Amino acid sequence: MLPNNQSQTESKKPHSVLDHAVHLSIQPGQLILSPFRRWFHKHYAGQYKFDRAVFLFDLVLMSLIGALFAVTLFLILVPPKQFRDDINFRATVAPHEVISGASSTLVIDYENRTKETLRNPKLDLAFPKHFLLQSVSVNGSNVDTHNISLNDIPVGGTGTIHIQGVMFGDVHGTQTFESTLTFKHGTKQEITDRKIATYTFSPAHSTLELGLSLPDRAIASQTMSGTITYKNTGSINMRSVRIKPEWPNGFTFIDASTQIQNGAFVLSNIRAGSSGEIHFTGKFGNVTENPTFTFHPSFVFDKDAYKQETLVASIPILPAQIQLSHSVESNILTPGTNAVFRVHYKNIGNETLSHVKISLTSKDPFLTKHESFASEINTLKQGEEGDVTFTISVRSSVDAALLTSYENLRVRTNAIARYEVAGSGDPTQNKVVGDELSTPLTTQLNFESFARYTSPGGDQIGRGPLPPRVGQKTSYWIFWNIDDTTNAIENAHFEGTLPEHVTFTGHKTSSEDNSVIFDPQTRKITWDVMRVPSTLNPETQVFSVAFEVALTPSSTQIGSPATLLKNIHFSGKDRFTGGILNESKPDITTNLPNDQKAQNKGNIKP
Amino acid sequence: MKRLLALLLITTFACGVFLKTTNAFNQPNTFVRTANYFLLSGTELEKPETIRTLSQFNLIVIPLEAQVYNQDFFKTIRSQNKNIIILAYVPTVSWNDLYWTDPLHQAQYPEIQQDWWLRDANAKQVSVWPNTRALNLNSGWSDYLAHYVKDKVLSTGLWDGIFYDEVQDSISWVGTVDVDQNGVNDSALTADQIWAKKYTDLFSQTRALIGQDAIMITNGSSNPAFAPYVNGRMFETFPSSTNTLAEWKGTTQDYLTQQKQVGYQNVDIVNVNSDNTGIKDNYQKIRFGITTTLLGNGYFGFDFGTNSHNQLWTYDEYPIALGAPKTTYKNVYDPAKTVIDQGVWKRDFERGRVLVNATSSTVTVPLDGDFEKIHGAQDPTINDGSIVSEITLASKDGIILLRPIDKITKAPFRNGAFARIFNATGKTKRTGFFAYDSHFKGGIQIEYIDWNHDGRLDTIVADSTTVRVFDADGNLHATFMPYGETYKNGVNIAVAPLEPNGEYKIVTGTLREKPIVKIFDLEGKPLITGFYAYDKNFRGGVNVSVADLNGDGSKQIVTAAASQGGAHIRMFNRNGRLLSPGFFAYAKTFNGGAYVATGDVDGDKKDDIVTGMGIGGAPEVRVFDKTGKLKSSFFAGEKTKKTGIKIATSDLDEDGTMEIIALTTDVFTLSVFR
Repeated sequence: MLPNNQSQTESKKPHSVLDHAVHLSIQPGQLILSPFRRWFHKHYAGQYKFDRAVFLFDLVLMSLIGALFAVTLFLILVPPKQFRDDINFRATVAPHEVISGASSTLVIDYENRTKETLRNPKLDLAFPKHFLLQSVSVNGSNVDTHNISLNDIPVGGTGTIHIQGVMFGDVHGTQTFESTLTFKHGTKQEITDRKIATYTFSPAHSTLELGLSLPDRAIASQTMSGTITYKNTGSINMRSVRIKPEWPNGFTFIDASTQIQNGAFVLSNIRAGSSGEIHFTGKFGNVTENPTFTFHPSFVFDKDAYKQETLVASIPILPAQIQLSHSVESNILTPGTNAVFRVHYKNIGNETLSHVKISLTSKDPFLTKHESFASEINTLKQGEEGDVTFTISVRSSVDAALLTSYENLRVRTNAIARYEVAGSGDPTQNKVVGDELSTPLTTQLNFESFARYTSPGGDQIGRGPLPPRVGQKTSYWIFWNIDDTTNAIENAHFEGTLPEHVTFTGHKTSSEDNSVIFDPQTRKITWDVMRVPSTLNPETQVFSVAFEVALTPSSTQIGSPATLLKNIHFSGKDRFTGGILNESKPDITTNLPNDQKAQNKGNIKP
Repeated sequence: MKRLLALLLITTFACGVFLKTTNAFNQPNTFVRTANYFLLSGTELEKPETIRTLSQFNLIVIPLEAQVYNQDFFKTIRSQNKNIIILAYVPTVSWNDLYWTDPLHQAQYPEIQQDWWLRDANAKQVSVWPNTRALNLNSGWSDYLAHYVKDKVLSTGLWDGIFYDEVQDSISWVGTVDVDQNGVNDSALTADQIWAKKYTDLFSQTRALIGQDAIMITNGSSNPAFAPYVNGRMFETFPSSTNTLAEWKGTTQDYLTQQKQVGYQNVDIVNVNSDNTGIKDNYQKIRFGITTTLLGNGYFGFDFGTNSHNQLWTYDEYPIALGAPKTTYKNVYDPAKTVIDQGVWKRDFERGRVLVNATSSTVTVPLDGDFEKIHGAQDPTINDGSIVSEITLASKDGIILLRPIDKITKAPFRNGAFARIFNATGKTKRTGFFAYDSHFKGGIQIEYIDWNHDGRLDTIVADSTTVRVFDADGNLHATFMPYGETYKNGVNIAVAPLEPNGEYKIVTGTLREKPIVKIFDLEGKPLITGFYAYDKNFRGGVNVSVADLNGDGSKQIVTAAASQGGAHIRMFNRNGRLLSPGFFAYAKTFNGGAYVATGDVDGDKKDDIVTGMGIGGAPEVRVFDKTGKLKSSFFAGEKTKKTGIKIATSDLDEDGTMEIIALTTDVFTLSVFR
């Protein structure tokens, strides 16, 4: 019987994928039971007295274990429904598109779908780190706290919390709000529970608007200036903004109207609605590809910074066509004299240039002309070159208010060429600026020598009768001071001579260093100072000496002012340039028209 | 009612004992001395402005009933002027039915016996002052009054003494009186003799009862018989420039003579008044009166007149500190003359001179030296602050002159600077001068102070690196470098005792660089390791000063950022513990730092914090209390200057209140070419 049966079975076995598919579709029960049948025959059949019953019992047992495991897994993975699940608590934001730095409103809705009243509910709001909270209202009533107490929420009760504020964050980054509703419930036992809602926003734009203004084109090997414009389009002030420049290859940053700190422009307190500009200057090397400027702005809060929208702009660049250089005849410039500058130019391009204007300019206030022009050159052929001479006066003195630095000053000059390309049909005027020449400037000098009977505050520093009277002693203080110097002066020497009828009282003072010395033999008063520091900076202390002289007029002096000090002279050496300084002053007399007490009381009386 | 009054008196007594200061009559031998005869009590003495003004006087006479109505007044005014003399106004004869409704007099009245009233032979009561009834000194009243001032007045401890009013050598001037109470009107001679005798008895008995320390002065008589028992008298309506020179001569002779005759420490009051006109700005009259007073040792006051003595008038001459007298009065042109008559008189004091032109013509007096007129606001044509070597005085005029100040003591200053001297509100107080010591270089810091307590000023100097301590003879006592020999940016110093033992310590700060404060003894030994007054990374240096900000004797170190930072003022204890986060003396945006000094510049007995703007700021001076509350501010130089203003505080004129010394540089730059 068996071979036949085997033969029948084998004859029914599928032999191909198609056969298997047909076999599976028509005999699914056999296919499912097949592993059990094999397991029974392998481990139970014939091994137990009631092998089928034992197998069935084990099968049931295994099924129960599997069912218990499945139930356990379900219970672990699918927690039971909790009380708070029936509280609807969610947050949304308006406007839907969040702008960094602009005001937005977060709306939190709640609804009690439980079967109990939520007692003593409190709402705790957790904002992103630099969220600027403007207002919070609960069901239309403003509150002023992060921890908000609500009225009991009855079954079916609803409410809305509006949170208005300014969100700061990385543009396209994420920031998260979290709000927690805590409450009590329970009829037999009071249970404290809470429900948390979170909202994540991603600013799409920024209230900081940036723009970049660049020339139509730049010229290789030339300086170039650009302007970043910024505007606070939001409704609140921006406390601190950083704009980090990413300069193009071949561009060397020189200067800007806003200082760079740690590699970025730092702007403080940009008021709502206000705008401003940052002017920057740099120089291109021998660049051929069009350079791209990139600026990365950020809102800065202490150690946190939020990246805003990046500003990118490119500029076409042209090769230079004129080479310029210039020099000055003397190594130093001296206030009150003429300076002679020589400019050398050469056409290094491939075209003939026309309408070539050579000029010399200085951004410092020391030269009497900001820019001096030479005669126009009609055409300048390829390789052609020449020289132009400029003679410009150096101012004798410059007000400190015109300067930003006050010591060891140099006069900075540049040669400039403006030109057109001949025959190109392009009327655009091109401009080439030569390298800067920095020439040391000998100090200007304001040596003051005067007498006073009264201090500027009205204090009487002189003694004795006014007008001076014959035979009576009247004393005055004489002041020498050095001011407005831009360089230190070495071996400064002041001197003056006391005339007849005038004596040195011995009273003296000095703001710095030693005071004056009187030589009774020569009747000279001298003050020698090894080094007088520069004094132009308005914040420097005055460098001065003062001493008292006493006049006892004789009858021959009646009716006219008497001389108090004569032959007044200053000499010294400029420490920075080595220039020799000499200056004399007129005699000092009792005629003191600017003295509060002594004015009009200079003529000697009997 | 009687129980109530008794309770009131007991309470008054108890409070008085509690409030009584020991030996209140402790008047320093300094002049000018002023008095106010202020016969109001009650609500008037409760007004802060009244108390503040009265506290500026050296002596006040106030009504007796103030001890009932105004017990707090005594404590308050003595807290503002610990040396003030307060005398109780006690009439000797008159009883004022109209005004004396106070508990004190109401309790006194029932004790007055009927036979104590002064009557004529017809038993008609007599009055010596309108609307009052007179009591008879030749009765039990005199004995009662002597005991009364001892037991009911001075026993309260509130008073320094009594002011007996209505003192006369005679009584017959009122008309017929029966002083001896024999039923017959007395002859004028008899009445006057008894009257003077009974006054003598009253003063004698009062002195015996009140002892030697209490003051007893009278008003109305210079009778030599009274002199052994009294401290002096008041000269009511003393002749001044509106009187004849003969009147002036007579009363001045009386004033200067009787003060030598009194048996106790002299207290005279010279009351010049407007002769009941209310004209309070006759400054010549005031000057003539006050300078005449200064020929002697009296207290001067100017008020309305006999019809009203309750004014709070003060004058530019009142707060002047002349110091102790150096001479007696002298005739300018005849120094040998010792008896006052018409002429030009002077008296020298430690810090000035007083001149009186008691002639009928204008005189010009040489002064044999330089003297400074006071910086007055009331009559600036005379008191214009100028320094003179001769003075022209109108007839019946006088003047107080001061010796010029030419040195800053007890405060650090920058050598060579010009010192301008202000009060707390910015009014020029004294004429400025160059603060310069030619022994040292200009620009360094110097302080003259008696650090070794030998009675002479020693010198401490600080330059860019080193602090040097010299004694008064110029011997170098110690030298040290607070921040090491490599530090060369300047050292600030403040020298003061930091502890109750009075030993001076030197507190140092850096003029630049790290804001480290250190404390050294006079040998240069560091007492603490030093502390950062500001952030460790700050490099602007620190200015320092030592203060008693609480007025309790404890000392604090007050700091200011010296430069490159906000004008941030902070306070530390002597161990460097921060007492207060401080305040910004100027706008927070100003980053030139501040100069700081401390001292009681407004007389409230607590040190104030005085600041000057640092380099880059205007010469603006500000005065703060310890909490940073602004008390006053002013410019000590041209507003347009940006050099800042260095500050010191010291009582240069020794009037008990610190002056603000602005160390300016603008005096150097006033060229005719600008």
